[in-house]
Amino acid sequence: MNRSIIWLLAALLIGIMAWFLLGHWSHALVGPPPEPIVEGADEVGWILGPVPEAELQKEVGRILPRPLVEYSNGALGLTLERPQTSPSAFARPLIEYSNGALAMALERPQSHYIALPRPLVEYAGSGMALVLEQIPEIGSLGQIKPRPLVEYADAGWIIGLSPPVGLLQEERGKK
Amino acid sequence: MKIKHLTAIGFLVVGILLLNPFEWDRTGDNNGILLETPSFIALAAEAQTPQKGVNFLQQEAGISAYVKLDQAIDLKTIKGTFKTIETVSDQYIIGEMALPNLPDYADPHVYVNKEGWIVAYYSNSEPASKIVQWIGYSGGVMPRATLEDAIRQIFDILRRTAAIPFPSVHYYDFEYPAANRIMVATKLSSQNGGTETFYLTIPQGVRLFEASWSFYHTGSGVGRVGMDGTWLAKYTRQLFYGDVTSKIKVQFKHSFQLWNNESSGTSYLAVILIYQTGQ
Repeated sequence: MNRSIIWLLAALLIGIMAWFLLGHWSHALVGPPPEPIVEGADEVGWILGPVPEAELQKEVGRILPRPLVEYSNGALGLTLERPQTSPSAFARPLIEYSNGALAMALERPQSHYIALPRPLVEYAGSGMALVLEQIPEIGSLGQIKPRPLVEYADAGWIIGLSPPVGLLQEERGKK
Repeated sequence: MKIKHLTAIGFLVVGILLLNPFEWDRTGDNNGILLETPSFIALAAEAQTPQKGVNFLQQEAGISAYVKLDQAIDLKTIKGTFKTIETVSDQYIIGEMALPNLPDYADPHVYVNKEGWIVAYYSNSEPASKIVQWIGYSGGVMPRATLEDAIRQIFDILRRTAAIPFPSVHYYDFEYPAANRIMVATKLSSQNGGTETFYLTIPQGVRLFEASWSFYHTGSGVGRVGMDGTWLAKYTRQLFYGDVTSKIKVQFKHSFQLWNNESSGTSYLAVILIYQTGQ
């Protein structure tokens, strides 16, 4: 074998070796990522697990059906929205009547109510069905307040609709 | 140089690479885990539907714990474990779950779907320190997490009908998708009138998203939580939370004080940090 080729190959091998070694050394010199420094605590630990796996990400993206609400007689159309701005209204879909007169949010039931007119609510693409109804409620001043209820048709769970004070005022203020 | 020499050099190189003596374990110790950042933006874009669909977890959830069981979940069997039902379909249930011996404001939300996913979470408007489960804690090993307890309540129901192993629980903060670490530092004080202190420094290179705390008092007295020598408040409630994210400065040695004024009771303090490092 030609001597110059041998030297070239040897230099190449040495170069590769040096490249790997430098890479590892630099890695070692950089060290682990920085962590908050805690002194004097009784216990310090990490309880973090991995970020959602691809499956969960898919699942998260799949929980989408946004309920579209339509009265069965077609006289009124409602849409359910989740509040975008009010953190206090967590998990409280807003209900806006098509005439804009009312905006209400879902809240847990305070008591059981007797069902009256029941507009059907169907989640788009999910087959889920809800029933909305409005029933009278005696207000503090003796006024009758409309208070729609939402009843899940399959399970019979009932969630009352009542205006969370701040949110309703906020929504009315927008109109 | 002969072929023998070349072969020797070759073996040397391969040997060094195989032995890899300089590799640094970047996962470190103490359960530290370096994680990938999920592509939530792309996911959300993909998830958009003509119905203006939104992702409730991304919109509403903050700190979360989740498991994936290797079996389907019959939603009817577990719906009774919920304190309140917020949303339900033939595919999933979302509701609040009461935890034993904890007040209402500690209730986590839980999402369960029939394919085996269980996600327990607090809303993004709540401090992540709500995950600290003080009930049953007496010092030493880190407290459990309330979110894991919520998942276990679902799991216990399921285990009545099937012998399934409890899967490992993973954590994630939907409010801060870039966060890859959560640190919990705890301190307890059982001395009447005694003040305990610990210190926290956020170094350069750590991107802090949230610093919140959880206070718990076992007796009928009061306790106080302080930061940098100033009392944040005096708490007579058994369990209290707070957020001090805006008070944290990088490369500053902050102090946290815990004051207990009852000889028969113990006060506990945990500071939770949600942050990103190593990326």
